Amino acid sequence: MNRLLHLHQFGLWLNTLPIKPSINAFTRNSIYALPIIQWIHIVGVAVICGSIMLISLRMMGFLKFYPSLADMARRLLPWTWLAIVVNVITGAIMVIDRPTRATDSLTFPYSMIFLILATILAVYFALSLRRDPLYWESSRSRQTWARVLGAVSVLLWVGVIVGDRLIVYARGPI
Amino acid sequence: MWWFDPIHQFIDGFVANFDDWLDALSDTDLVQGYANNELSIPIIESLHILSVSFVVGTILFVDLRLMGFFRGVSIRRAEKIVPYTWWAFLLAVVTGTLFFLQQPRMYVHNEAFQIKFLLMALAGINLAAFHFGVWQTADAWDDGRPPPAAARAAGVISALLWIGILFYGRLVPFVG
Repeated sequence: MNRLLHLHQFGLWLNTLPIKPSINAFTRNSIYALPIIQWIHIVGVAVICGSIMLISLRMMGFLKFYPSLADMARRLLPWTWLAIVVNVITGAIMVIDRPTRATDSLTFPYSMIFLILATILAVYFALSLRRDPLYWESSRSRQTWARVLGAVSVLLWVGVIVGDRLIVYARGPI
Repeated sequence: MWWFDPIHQFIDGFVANFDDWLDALSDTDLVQGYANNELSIPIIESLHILSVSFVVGTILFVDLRLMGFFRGVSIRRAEKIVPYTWWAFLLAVVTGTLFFLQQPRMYVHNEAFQIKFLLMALAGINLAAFHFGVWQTADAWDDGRPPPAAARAAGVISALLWIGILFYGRLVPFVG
């Protein structure tokens, strides 16, 4: 996947970005800079787990004590969008700080692909439930699809989180 | 952490009594067995981050309800996620223990680790005070009204403590 996407070259290009020296200066300025960025990132991950992850589990048919899927989505999804935006920003800062650490990792590209797919799926959940609050309950086949897509969404988000956690462990070919 | 330094020195002096015992613990065949397996650390780290973020994520939203957000949702209903939080917490404790056993002496002397566990103890006290206090009267304010001050305070304190726990947990590998 790394070769297919020319990720090493992408990492080298990130190295030439005009913003890179200022990000490096920021992270080297204080021993707390990097842990604080990682902290904000992990709070974002927690918000993902408390929002879209619960909605996906509810889609799968768990957490039936929350009676309305549409209500859950309306209340929780704004927090998901916020967490995705914050984590794309903090994630980009960490990647640009040390580009090839991420781009030469075998798990990083999968993580990013999963993130894009999971976000698209979450947007689809939001739009379908806004149009019709009972969309996923209105027929047998839609109930089945809700279970399948809920499970796919959970697996994608788990894949995003685990893939990013494993960046340093799986070094790819350059 | 200037504010914690006196406590840090006190704890350091105390736990130093157990250093030899802790080293012996990490030297056991059981701990060495998984510590030397190159797959064990990534797997433990992955499960730890997943369980910790589920724990904190679910707690944060219940805390927000206690603060007065999502008042259209019954607090009795919102709170039904908590058993799942406890299962995730159990997984976090198991994976955390597996980390700890690999280098227990480093952890007990690590300032960030000490603060993290202090904050977890405070979160436990806050939870107990809430559970045996204002939670017992929840039916009286579970109708969309603003929650009583004690409930809002418990929510704010819990959210701050858990966000702090994430910070000091993340700081552990950065400090000596």
